Amino acid sequence: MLTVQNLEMEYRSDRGPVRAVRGVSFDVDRGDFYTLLGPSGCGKTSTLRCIAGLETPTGGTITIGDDVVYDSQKKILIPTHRRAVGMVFQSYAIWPHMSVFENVAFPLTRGRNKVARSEVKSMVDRALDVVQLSHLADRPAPALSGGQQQRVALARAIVYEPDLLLLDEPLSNLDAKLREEMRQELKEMVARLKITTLYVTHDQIEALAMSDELAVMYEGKIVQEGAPEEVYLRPTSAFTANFVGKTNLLNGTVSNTKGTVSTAHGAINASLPDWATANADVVLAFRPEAVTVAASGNNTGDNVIHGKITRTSFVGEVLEYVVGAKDDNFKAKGDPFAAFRIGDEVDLYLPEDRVLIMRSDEATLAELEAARVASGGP
Amino acid sequence: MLIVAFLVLVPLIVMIAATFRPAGVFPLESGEFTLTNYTEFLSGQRGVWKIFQNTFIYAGGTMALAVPMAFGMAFLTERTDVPFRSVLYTLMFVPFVTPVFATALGWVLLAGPRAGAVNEYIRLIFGLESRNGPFNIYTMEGMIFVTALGIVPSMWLLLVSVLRNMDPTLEEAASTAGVNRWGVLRKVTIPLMLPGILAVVIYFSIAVIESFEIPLALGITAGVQVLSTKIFLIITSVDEGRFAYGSAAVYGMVGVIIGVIGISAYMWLIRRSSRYTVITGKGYRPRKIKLGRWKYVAFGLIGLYMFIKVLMPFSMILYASFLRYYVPPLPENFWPLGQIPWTLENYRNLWDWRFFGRTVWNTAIVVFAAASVTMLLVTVVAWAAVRLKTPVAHTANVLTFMPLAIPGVIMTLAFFLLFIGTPLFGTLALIVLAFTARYLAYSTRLMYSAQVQVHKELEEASLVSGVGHVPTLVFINLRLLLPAFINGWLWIVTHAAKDFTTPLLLATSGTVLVANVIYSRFEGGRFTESAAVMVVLVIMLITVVFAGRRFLGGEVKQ
Repeated sequence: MLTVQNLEMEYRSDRGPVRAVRGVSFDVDRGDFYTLLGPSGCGKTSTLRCIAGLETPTGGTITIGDDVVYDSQKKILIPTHRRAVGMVFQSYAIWPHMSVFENVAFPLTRGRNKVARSEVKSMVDRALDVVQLSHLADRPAPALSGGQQQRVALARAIVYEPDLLLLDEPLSNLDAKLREEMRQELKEMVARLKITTLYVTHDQIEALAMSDELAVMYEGKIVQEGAPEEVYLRPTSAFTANFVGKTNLLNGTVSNTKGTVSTAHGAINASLPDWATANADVVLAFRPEAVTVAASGNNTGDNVIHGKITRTSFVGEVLEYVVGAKDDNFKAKGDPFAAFRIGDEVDLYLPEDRVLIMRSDEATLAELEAARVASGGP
Repeated sequence: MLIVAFLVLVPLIVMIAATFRPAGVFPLESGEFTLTNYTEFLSGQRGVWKIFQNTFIYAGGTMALAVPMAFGMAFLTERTDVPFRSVLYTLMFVPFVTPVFATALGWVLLAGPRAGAVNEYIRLIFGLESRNGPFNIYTMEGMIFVTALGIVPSMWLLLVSVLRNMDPTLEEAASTAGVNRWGVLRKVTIPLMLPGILAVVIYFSIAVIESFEIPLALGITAGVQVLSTKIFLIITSVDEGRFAYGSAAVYGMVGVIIGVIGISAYMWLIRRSSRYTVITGKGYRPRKIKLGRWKYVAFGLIGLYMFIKVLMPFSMILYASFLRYYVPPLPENFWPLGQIPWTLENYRNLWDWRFFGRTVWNTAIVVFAAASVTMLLVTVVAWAAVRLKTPVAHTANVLTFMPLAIPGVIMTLAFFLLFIGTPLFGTLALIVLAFTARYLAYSTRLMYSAQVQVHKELEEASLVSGVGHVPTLVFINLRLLLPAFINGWLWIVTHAAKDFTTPLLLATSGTVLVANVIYSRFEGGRFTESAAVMVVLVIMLITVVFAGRRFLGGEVKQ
């Protein structure tokens, strides 16, 4: 349904031109829920706005359905109001001078999505029903709570059944409980309506819980793309590993071709990726839950880190530890029924299949840049 | 865009051309060029420095008096629960309906040193001996007082726009942190509004520097000359039968330069304040401060202002309109009854005179047209300047400011010189054009600051919903800007209707406006008849304003 190729976007700021989007390419299949995930400034919102037509890219192509809405080489640029999209803004952008009903009805009363007068009421009612706001139809917009405004925004975006629904961090202004509820509801709503959805957020829990597929963005590029489990369990860069979920990172050097990496804490064995040659500087990544914490023994083998508990955090279903070892601090999780205490000497066991070898962030970015240039970007 | 450029640049060019012509030569004729105008000016002849000194004292004093008043009132009406808010809103427009000329005359009748009514009464009550004072309106202080009172309503209007939509959560954040009400005002509210407020102050400083009618009515007799009266005097004094436009234009140039400096400062401030976008559709509910018992004091203060500013001078004019010839309203003249020459003649004459009906009709057409054309033009320019940020849009925005820097007298003169001899001369259309050019500046400010506060996403949401740019502008943008639009429209209508400069310079026998009638009666020594026309004008304007406020009433509630 949505195809983005080599998208580039640059804008002018007080400090000079800023390249917000640098060669982003991805596809979203019909009916899928696709998320762009990343920290502030990574270019995800800019990408979304380019797709909506609210910003003008400086290169690449965008195709929605069968229509090419932007093509920098063929000089095609379809304006926003002629694209078959619906959008929910982070500020909701509910029009204060109209009621709930009027807000949702507006797209149907003029412009591209205009329908016959007789149709308007039934379509608006249906949309309000989906977001469960039928009882507030006549309420003036400013008299709504945040959560209600958000639903109005959603109803307005889907009332004309667009090909593509764009959501710009719609849950970030809600309180935690409401956010959790809306996460579920939103996912169910768009699934029921079978609308192709592009979602932008910095919250990795939302991304993991809601998406069919997600793309992690960093400094204007997509750093990794895939299904949530894939990205979480097999991150390909230190950045992704750290941004999606919590991770322990450890620098080391490859010491042989069988997968041994020498670190300040001894030798760690893991599966060696193709690009890692001997003596390469790499970053080892392992999740806190991948580690087993045991009382300190005399184990001098590989894949063991000796350290001391420096902090414990009881969060209900698990105990989170911070273990200090030499100059590093590692995060681990343990059974709350078999707790260690601060100061205890422990061994951290790292199973080979749960440790990943990856490039440093700089190397990752450099490789992505090289790949982009090679594929013919500007 | 082009329209704006034409309206603004052409008169400016004419004026610049004029500075290089010696006396007796029209700016656009073929003939000699000279630099004597400049040399005379720079060599300080004819007390050039004194004039500037006067001008700055005048402007500074007026600002010092007017700003606290205007801000105080804007704050009271927007952010507190002062009672009868909607009444106050309507009343605020009332000062707009009196011609400045009339106000000045009224004050002369009140506080002229010899025969002023207030002075007479005070002398009577306190048994003072002298025949002079205590109040003397023919002084710099008098000028400042009257001018300050006069600009407060316009200032109030602009400040209301700044105040109206400030994000209340910013203030609430301060309150919850334990800051008391005064602290919130001082540390949060005012700093956030400071750029907007400073911009308004700069705007009006320039306006006062260029203002004309009060210095004319009061300053000349007081011996206080400022920039605008100097220009007027130069133009109207016929020195050996030659018109010294050139010399006047040099003064005008200085006015322009001052204006340009002020405008640059203003633009910088506006750019800073535009970071405080406010109408996002969320939390659009400013909180009102409860005044408790101070409510009535506040209301009383505003009432006092109204009384002094409006009722006092106007009642003198009203009184005069019922007389056959003017006699001060002193007790000694009331006894025996019948000493005062009451009459209704003045009004009856107007009623019988068919020509007056035509005049009113002309005036109505001109002001409504000017207001509509200007507001529409200005809305587009302001929108473009805020949203598009292209050089063209920015230039248009800056251009609308230029008329402010050109003294009204010069501006109108330029139109006169430009169009004399063309078919446009002597038509109502020319007057409409001249008014549009003059009122561009104020209305652009109004629409610009209103536009800045409408969040971009409200328009984007409409575009994304499939609605094109023009319907979005009309149904979303304009609709949200409607209060400011109507305020601006009413402002132009009332100011144009009572303006003197333009009708006096541009009207011909075919296009007589009410102001012309007022002035011609006055000049012809028929003061009380003139007073009657002034009263009629005021009544008509009040009707318009009340009708307009009723229409706007619903918007005010938001």
